[in-house]
Formats: sequence, C-alpha cells, structure tokens
Amino acid sequence: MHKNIQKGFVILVLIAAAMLAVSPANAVDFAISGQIDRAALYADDGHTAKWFFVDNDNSSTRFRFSGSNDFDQGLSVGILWEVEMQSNPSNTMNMDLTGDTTDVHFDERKIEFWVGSPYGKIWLGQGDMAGNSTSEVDLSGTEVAAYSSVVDVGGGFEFQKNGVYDGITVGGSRSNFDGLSRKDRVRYDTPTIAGFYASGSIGNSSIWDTALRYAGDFGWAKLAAAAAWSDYGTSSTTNDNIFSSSASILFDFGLNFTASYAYRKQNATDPYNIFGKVGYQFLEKHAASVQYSRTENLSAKDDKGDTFGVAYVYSPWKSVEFYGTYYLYMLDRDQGSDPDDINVGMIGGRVKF
Amino acid sequence: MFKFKPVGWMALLSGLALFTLAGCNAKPFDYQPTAGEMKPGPGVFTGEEGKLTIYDSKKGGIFPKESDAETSGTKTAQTNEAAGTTAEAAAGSQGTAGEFKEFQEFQQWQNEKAQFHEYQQWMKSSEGSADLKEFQEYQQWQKSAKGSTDFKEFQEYQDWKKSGRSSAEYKEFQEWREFKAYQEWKKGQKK
Repeated sequence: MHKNIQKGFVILVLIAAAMLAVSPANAVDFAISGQIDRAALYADDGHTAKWFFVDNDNSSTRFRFSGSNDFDQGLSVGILWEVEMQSNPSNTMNMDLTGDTTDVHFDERKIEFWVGSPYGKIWLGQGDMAGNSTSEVDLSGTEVAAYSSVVDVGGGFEFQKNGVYDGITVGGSRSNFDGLSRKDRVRYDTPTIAGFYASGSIGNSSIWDTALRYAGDFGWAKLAAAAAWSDYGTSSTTNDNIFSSSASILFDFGLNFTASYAYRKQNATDPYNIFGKVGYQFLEKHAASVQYSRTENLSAKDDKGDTFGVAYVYSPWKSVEFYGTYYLYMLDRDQGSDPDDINVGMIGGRVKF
Repeated sequence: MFKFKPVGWMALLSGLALFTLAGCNAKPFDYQPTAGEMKPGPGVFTGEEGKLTIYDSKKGGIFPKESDAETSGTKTAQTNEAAGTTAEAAAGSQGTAGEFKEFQEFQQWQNEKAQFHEYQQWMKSSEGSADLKEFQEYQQWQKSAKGSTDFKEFQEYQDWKKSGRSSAEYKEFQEWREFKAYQEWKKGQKK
C-alpha cells in the first residue's frame, strides 16, 4: 500500500507539472475570506450549572486563502489554505474550567492544492477525505446551531450522578461517525453525472475511503445525499472501518427533512448512530429545526447516548446569522445506574467577513 | 427507547430512493457541505462574493468587490445605453468592458502618478493658479454645454464611486482625471 501511495504521488506531481508546462495561464485569482462565530453557552449537568463564552465548534472561527488558475483545455489548478483559531471551543468546555482556555493557537484545517480537468479533480495535501461530511448532509439552514455532530456544542461535559462524575463525557458517548475527517491525503473526485459523483482518497498509515454523493433539484424540492466507506488501515488498533451516510430534502415551501445513519466496526462493540431532523425555513430569513439522535455501544456495549436538540437561526443580512440552540444530552447505561441528563443552551452569532 | 440494528437498510433505501428520483428529470445543483464548514455567501466587508479578491486577472481590479463591480457594470452600461455611444453595449458585455476600462484608467493613473504630483506642485504656483482658473471656467462651460442629463449621470457615477472606494484614493483619482482633462484642454489651446 505504501508503495502504491508513493507511486500515486509521483504520478500526480508529474501530471500537475505537465499541465503547468504545456498550458498558458489565462485566468488567475487569489482571495481571502473568513468568519467569526462566537456564542454564550449555558450548561447544567444536574449538579453544577455555569455560563461559558465560547467559539461555536459547529462552524469555528477561521480564515482562508484560496486561489485558482484557469488554463486552456479546461484545466485548472487551485490552492486552499484554511486555518481555525478558537478561544474556548464549545466542544471542550467542562465544569472544571476556570477562566478561559489558555492554549489558543492556529489549527490546520486545509492546506492543499487541486488540479481540475474535464475528467475530474485531484487534491493533494491536508484536506477532506472522500468520506468527510457524508454523515452531515443538511439542507435545513440551521447547521450553524445544530446538526448531526451533536458533540460540537457540549462534547466536553461529563455525566454525573449525585455529584459523582463517572468519567464519561458527552463526546465519549455519542458520535455521528463522519468518515475519517481531514487528513494528509491524495483525493480524486469524478465529474458530476446526472447529479452524482464519486470520490476516493488515500492517506498515511494506509487509510483509504470511497464515497458517492448526489445533489438534484426537482423544482419542487432539492435533495442531497452522500454515503461513504472508510478504512482505518494501520492507523488504529481498535477501529476497522466506518460506513457513513446521510440525506436531506428541502421542499420549496421551506419544510425539510434530514437523516443520517453511520456505524463503525470496532473491537467488540461496533457502535452506530442514527439521526433525524425536521426543519422549516420561513419568511426568507428564518430557519428552525428539531432533531433527535442515538448513538449505541460507544461508551460501552449497549450504552445509549440519546440527544434531543432544537435550533433557530435568524439571518438579518446574508453575511450575518444569529442563532439559538438547546441540547438535552442523555445517557442510558447498560451497567449501573443512569447519570443525570445534561442541558446545554447556546446563543450566538456568526459573521462572515 | 428504540432498538436499531447496525445494518445498511437505511443506506439501501436511500440509494434506491435516490436512483428513482434521479430519473425524475432532476437538475443537478452544486451542493457544497455546510455543516461544520465556513458560512457560504456574502461577507460583511467583502461584498456579494464573500471573499476579498487580492488579484483577479479577469475582473482586472485590485481589491475589487463583486457587488461594486456588478453595480459598476450596470451603471456604466445604463449610462452608455442612454447616450447611445458605446460599441460595447452592442457586444453585450457592458459590465465587464466598463470595469476593464476603469481598471485601465486606474493603471494609467498609477503610471503617471509621479507626473501628476508634479502637476499638483505646479498648480500651487502662481502661473498654475491663473491657468487653473481658466481651466475651471472651461469645465463649467462644458457642464452647461452638455446639459443637465449628462451631469446628473455623472453625479450618480460619482456617488457610486464614493461608496466603493476609500475616499482619499478616490479623490486623488478624480484629481488625476481632471488633470487629464486639463492636458487635453492645453493641447487644444496650443492648436
């Protein structure tokens, strides 16, 4: 596998070099964009309640450099460099925290270039694996407040019973198993045919994945869907592979439905997650949704991590969103008594600049 | 509450539904993942495009904003159509051509910046002041000769320019335009 990756890399570099050598540039652009996404978060674990001022990890504060260069014969080359900087990420807040988190730094998200052609697109660098976001297709318009990755808001809070914390966090008891996230990899996307396109990527430690996506507009509704198979290669001793999928439909009168199903082959437990969301977009600037999800077998065999969520997003201007969300995190333990539920509410805003 | 088995039934049903619906004359649309990603669309400072374009060989501007560029194209096109003077309108590319013309002017201004500054210094001299007075009178005459419609359009154009550019740079750019008009006038005087 390693040899194949090396060969693939060499071939990709040669192809890119050839494209650059034979085709004169006829259009170039380079741009900067970014966003700030901050919120106030209130959490109550049944024993302790606190306010936190956080960076919303649903869509973190970040900026990016992007550029592309069009060449003759439908060829193009582009770059993407995206970094995030979060002070108090919402997914790491916990009741032991005093003051702010201190190690605020830039985190890499995407550092890659791509080569586009009529035969598809090749990506090289740190970026989305083919399966990334295949559990997160969502047309509700409330993703900034709540979506299938319910741990992005209160993932760091720990369950307790009678003041005794059992070491299991929200993030440790539920997941949407969204493929292999972002990695250093090479990725290929096919051209889109009748709304469908396929992707495949290979990364370090022999990880690989393949995905199929669809997006269609029927006039009376838009439908988007994705599914992926991801293999951990030699990168994990406990996890083997992931199947992830999701679909979302948005009717032209604003009603929308979203669902996701994913599971991970893992030593002795094989956790899975199922997620459903109903939303409504109204008066052009408003979107609201209700969602429910269950992850089973993640914190322990037959444990159930249920999450109920409500979200509302108001977009007074295209560049600005204000939102509010409420999550109820529950844990049904197979062994021992169930801990208290955790309530989390968050209000904030996202401003693109 | 519920008992789910980790099987691919949901994926299978979704797949079947997709293929069924794909045959219903659906048009593909460019769905980009939004969950966890950066907000798509316009930005507070970057206009409709949502990004600060540092360099764009097609649009031809330095720090152009899409919203301004579009407005520029529309207004320029409207002005040209009203005057009935432009061949670009016939070509159907008024917006791009207008933007490009403006960019060319901007580049020319940059090239002649030093000369323009010399002109400004000269204007401060007494000789310059006398000539300037005559030049300003000439400009007034031009405005009255052209009539109010053109002047109104010109003012609209200036308003647009002010909203899209930093005032200091724009002022200097306008002064440079006056300088070019002055040069033309001087040439006419010599003849």
